[in-house]
Amino acid sequence: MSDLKKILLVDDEPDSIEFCEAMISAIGEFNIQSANNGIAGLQQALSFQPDLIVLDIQMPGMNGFQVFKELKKEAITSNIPVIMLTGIATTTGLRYDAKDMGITLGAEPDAYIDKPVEPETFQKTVSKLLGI
Amino acid sequence: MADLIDTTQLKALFKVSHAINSHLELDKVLKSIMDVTTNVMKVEASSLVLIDEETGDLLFHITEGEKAKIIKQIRMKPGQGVVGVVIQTKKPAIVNDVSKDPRFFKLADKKSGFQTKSILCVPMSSTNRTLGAIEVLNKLDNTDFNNQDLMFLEAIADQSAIAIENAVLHREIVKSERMAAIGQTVAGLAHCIKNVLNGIQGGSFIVDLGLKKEDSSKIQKGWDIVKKNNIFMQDLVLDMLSYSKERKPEYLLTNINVIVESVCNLMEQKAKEKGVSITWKPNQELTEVEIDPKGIKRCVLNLVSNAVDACENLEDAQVKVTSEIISNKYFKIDISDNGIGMPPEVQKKLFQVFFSTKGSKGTGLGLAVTHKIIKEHNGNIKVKSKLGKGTTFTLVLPIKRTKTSK
Repeated sequence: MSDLKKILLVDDEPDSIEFCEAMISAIGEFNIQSANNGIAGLQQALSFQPDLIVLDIQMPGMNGFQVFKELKKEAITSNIPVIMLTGIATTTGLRYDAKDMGITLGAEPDAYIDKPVEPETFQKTVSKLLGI
Repeated sequence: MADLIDTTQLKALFKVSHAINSHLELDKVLKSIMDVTTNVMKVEASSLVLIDEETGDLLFHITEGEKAKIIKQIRMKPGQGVVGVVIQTKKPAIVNDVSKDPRFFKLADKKSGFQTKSILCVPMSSTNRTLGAIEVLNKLDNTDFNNQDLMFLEAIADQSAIAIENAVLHREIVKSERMAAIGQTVAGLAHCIKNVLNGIQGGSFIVDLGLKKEDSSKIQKGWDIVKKNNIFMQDLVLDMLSYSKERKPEYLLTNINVIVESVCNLMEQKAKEKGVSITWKPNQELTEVEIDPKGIKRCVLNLVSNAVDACENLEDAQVKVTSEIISNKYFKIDISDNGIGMPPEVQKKLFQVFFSTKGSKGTGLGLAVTHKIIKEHNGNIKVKSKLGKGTTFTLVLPIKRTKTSK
């Protein structure tokens, strides 16, 4: 178990987490944890120290952009690759979407996948970021 | 001193200024300006001439006097007639004997049957462009137009230019607000649909995975997700229709307590799963009220569901629902929770369509639809909320429909 790559899924929608788990399990075996809100996701990122974080943007309370900014502030989480999932309907790009929600992003996430998530794109991105 | 405008003219200017500030319908404003001008200046006829933005032709936009209808149909070329020259040179003209002035456009008189003797014409300009001109014809007492008349008409032209600019600005604002509203609606709808599609995509993927692995629990799980998203999509479409359509409520004499109780019972299971208790205290004296039961049930369901979500997983989480008679005309339903509460900036946007704090779980239509239904009933919806303490929504509704609501 300890040799398995660790993935943290942060999404308020249990079905979306289930979907991500299913897509990831079709690639191979991983140590997966999930959190259903931004604050829990941040705490789990610190304790679980995952190799990859899949982060939804639209969440109640702390949204994905806010979680991302906090992750980049902490030394032990700042280098973890992040895939952001979003159903935001703009076509102006991530930086402008964040701006719309009143957040100025510092760093860019490693990948940005639009909903509905296309399994092949998601799986390729996960594999690439985990170096497998 | 003789050149200064007199009290009657000052009063008239005040009237004009008032008309500009009280209406946004441009033609009404311009008509009342020209009415005042004709009466105060005691002339046989007057016209407000505008430049056609496409052709540059001069249009008699507002006309007053005996032959007003015929004159309104006349179009003049740029630079034609006294009015054309005034617009071109941006300088006013006093012509007290048109027969001696080569600028005079005789054809207008020929077409209309009006006999022009004298003309006072002033240009009408905004800060950056010439809009047209105002002209008055033939003083009723046959005297000449003088500098005092000129000053008054120039003041009138300035006021008219303001009215025109206001109307243009207002039109642009309305247009841009409409475009922004359409953009916001499309973006909100697209966001909801994307989430539903993601659910269907996810469910189908899990079904496929279950089929490959011959795992029936996975197939079931995936299928459940697909079904759930189908229902979500149906609700979304219904909410969109309720929000956008001019809906006619079907009023029936209804026991409101029965409606609210059925909502509380319906929500009990969901609340239990989230660690929330629902208490319902009806006022037993409140029996029959005249409402659209389906509409009001939807409103109460939206509010109780939101209240449960607001205190999900909190300690001693409670949702309290009560009904009360306020007067012989109104009753109210309170839905209170001791949940997370809302900051003022969220409260301001509550009834805005597609505004949601529930992440991917909310459509952002529930409260917008609730607000619309309550307004259709001539009722009112109030909200009191304190961050970290909880929220109370109050629906105030008439017991019987009044004549105006029928």
